[in-house]
Amino acid sequence: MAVNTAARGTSAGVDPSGPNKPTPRRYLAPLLLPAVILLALLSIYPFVWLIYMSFNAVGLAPGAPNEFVGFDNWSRMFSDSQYWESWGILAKYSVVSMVLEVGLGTLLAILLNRSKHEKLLITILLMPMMMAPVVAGLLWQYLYNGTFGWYFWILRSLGLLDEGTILGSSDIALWAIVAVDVWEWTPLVALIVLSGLKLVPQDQMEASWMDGAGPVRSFFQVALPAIKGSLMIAILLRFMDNIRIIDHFIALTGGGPANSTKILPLYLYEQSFSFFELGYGASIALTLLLVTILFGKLVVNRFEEREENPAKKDEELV
Amino acid sequence: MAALTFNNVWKRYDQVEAVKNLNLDIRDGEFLCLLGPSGCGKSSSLRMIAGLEFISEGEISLGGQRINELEPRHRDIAMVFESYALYPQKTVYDNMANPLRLRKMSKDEIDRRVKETAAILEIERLLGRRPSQLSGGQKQRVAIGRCLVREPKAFLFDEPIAHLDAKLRARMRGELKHIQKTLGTTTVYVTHDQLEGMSMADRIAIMRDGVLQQVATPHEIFNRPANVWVATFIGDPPMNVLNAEVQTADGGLVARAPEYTIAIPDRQAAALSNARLTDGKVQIGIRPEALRLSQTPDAAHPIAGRIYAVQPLGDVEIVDVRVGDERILVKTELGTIQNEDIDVPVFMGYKPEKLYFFDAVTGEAVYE
Repeated sequence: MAVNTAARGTSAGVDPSGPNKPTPRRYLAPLLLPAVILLALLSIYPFVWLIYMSFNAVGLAPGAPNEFVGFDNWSRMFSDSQYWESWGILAKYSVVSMVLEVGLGTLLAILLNRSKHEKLLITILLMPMMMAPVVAGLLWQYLYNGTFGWYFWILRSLGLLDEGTILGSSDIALWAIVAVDVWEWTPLVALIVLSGLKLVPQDQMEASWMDGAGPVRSFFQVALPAIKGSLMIAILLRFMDNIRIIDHFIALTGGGPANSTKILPLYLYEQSFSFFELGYGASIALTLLLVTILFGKLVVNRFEEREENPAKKDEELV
Repeated sequence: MAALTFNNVWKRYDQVEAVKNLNLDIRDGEFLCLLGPSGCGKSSSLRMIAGLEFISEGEISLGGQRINELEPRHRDIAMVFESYALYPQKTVYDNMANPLRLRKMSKDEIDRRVKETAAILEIERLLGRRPSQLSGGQKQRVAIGRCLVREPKAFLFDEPIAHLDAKLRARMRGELKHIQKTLGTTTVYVTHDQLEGMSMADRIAIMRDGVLQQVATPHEIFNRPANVWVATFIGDPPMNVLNAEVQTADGGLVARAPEYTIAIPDRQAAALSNARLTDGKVQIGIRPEALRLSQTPDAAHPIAGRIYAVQPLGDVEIVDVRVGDERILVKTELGTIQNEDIDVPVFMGYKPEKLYFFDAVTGEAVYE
């Protein structure tokens, strides 16, 4: 039934009387319905189930009953010191890697934009991104290895690492993983920002030079406002990615040493699939989701504010 | 304020030579128009003055000082761009204040100058708006205002009114000329529109394919074009150019074509016999408004042709006449000819002193 209506809606859309005519409102619902149903099955149902789980002690054996426990999982979470510590590590990790990625990526994009070999360099830069994160993690484990790792050897030779190994020191293990993430994802940020830089109006750039601005000043005055949108997208993407990251941590440290790299997703994974506390894991997952949504909303709102510049035109004076 | 000098200036982009050995003196306080079709090198020349393009060879000096190596911001030159290039996120006030703020001027001084300039341009009530809230003409004024506040050594205009509608363009021509004359700042104005050049400039520099063709006052450019290209580029409708051969007849010189023979006036005959024309080939130039039209053949109208088309333009009309393989435009008062049908025979007359002669090979004009 829905399909039938949708088909008719489509033929109305290509009506020869007006190819650009917007689809009539009454067709919108039936046209969207298939996609909405699919989305509901794939994401809304698990989401609702997750909320249900967070109020239960979930039975593990097939057919085993779930026991309703009220707010037990939630109250346990708020008094769980490791939960809060994991949040702290995650915040440190995601903020630092995001700042580094966006900062370095922007710098890289500026350099790429000026380079004569832009296309070749982009191809090379894309390589880390093509790698599965787990593979990247394993690769870096070799580089960090305390027996034959390159970086280990370099740090030791330079006298920067006196004792222990890179991933074995609770002071620097987290930053070593930040380095992996920065290595893998800075190129993506660079690409996004580069696409923004292509839209920087050259005439405004030149006008600002003529006005007397130097290169740094003209960047902030003309280029930055023009690439703001791209930067927002890069920040959003990297933040949402970083806050749910787990691959690098599993491959490199598994949360150690001494829980110093146990970020929240890893703690959640541990609770759910090592200790099979599925109900407790669900509560943690929901808080993670909530923070992601809030941050995403914040960024998108900022973005929309910028786009909706008041363009009210008064009567024209010539 | 300062004079601007091009000294053997070249601009090359890889294989393309955009400006070829340009020598040009722009006097202090002068309004000079760089005129030419697109791709003639006029914009490249302007951008070299601004410092937005490197000078491949030669020297540009401003006020007697070489500026080749100076960055744009250190040249003390202001420029109005074809696209206006206003900063979209800044208000009109901030757009105009920007060059002053970059010069670390005091707040009061900035405020005074911006308001003063806004008053000159009649944009005071727009100061709080953003560029997206302005019409094309308003944006253009703000862009000019951003240059005026600085009191720079020179103004550069790159087709500043090309995107305005015809009516507004006509008005802005007058405004720009008035502002330039009031301030007396050396100004270089790039345009492809001969009307802008003719109506505003003190002198016009005409360029073609990177080569400077002629620098002269608008009056001189129109009345004594240096070559056939300049002659046909300036004037609307363009000058008619007829191909003929110079021959001796009755003790004087005539220019002969299959359909007509034109006696060459004595004062030009001497020059023409001295100028070594290749194979005696000459091009005769005559402006459409210098031709008379009649529908009856007589001695005063010796060139016979047939009507190809008639374009009435209010009080005048342009008659397109076919003579042999050539077409000649005649600008004449409405009602000069009664029968305007196609292929009706017409006869054209001319005043000998209104004729131009060009070497058919080099295109150079031959004057007495």
